[in-house]
Amino acid sequence: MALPISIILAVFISYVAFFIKKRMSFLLNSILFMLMVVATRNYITIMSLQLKNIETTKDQFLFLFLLIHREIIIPLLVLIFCNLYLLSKGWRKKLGVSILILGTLQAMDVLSIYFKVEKFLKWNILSDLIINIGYMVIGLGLSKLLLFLSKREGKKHERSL
Amino acid sequence: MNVVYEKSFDANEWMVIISLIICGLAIWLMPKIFTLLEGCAHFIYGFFIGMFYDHTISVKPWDYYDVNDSSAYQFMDFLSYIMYGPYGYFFIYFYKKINVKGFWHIPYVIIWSTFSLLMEWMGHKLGLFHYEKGYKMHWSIPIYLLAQTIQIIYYHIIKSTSASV
Repeated sequence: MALPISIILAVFISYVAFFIKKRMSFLLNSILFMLMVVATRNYITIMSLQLKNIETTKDQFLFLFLLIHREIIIPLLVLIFCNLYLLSKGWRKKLGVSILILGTLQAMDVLSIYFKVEKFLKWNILSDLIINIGYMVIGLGLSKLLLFLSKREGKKHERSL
Repeated sequence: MNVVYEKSFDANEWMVIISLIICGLAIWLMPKIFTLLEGCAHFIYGFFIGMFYDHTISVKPWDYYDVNDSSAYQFMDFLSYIMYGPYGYFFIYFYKKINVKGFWHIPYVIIWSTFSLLMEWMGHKLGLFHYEKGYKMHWSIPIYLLAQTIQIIYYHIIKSTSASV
């Protein structure tokens, strides 16, 4: 049950990521996506292998759930958040987008606990909430940096013409 | 259980450091044919894809190999993933420079996969990779072919989307 659910969710989230109006170009979004994947991989590996705060599944099928969660769902949700946040005008819309994405990230974590993909050893759902907020803040910071660099490159290109 | 292969700072660590310095200098000194962000994207792709395989098939439940001195995740492991970055950059750098087209994609990808295999063999001999569960080096060939093909597609998508802007 876990694997089909994660695939269904990944497909729908991919659709949303593909069709939403984006603030950033494909190049910037792809860089953001790859960097967020690197962040989630490091987080999960350090937490499970080094700190032993969480235990990840040893089951081969459930591990695919973890891979989809780590490599597709979390980074795409952060990517959706950054694009929508940067496009939103007014704090109410920004807050709404933040709560919606944070809630989805948190629900995905609850789902991975429910399906025994992850087991908290010295960890809890509140600490996970902080990590998810961290992903969103890092994503937003990276987006702003990428937009700044892209703008600077555009100006340089204009000057060279 | 944490498996420790060795504890000394030797060939495998030096391979990572020397490779990073030489490739970093080469990127800096060679004529630039990409914009900063395009160059970064291909560098990050190399790092991203190398890390994907290492964090997928070298961890439990599959756990086919370990990187560096022990099965634990160390700082040197992270540096060895960054080491893949310049290879991703140069793969697409020469692809653009020599203007690979049509069926020439096949020899280009084969040459790079052979080179990657050679680097992996060197890494294995120097203690960077420790194979487990009967993992054979030739199993990496489809991984390289796939990773490089995806990078070529990625390059063309970037090119077409930036041309349409």
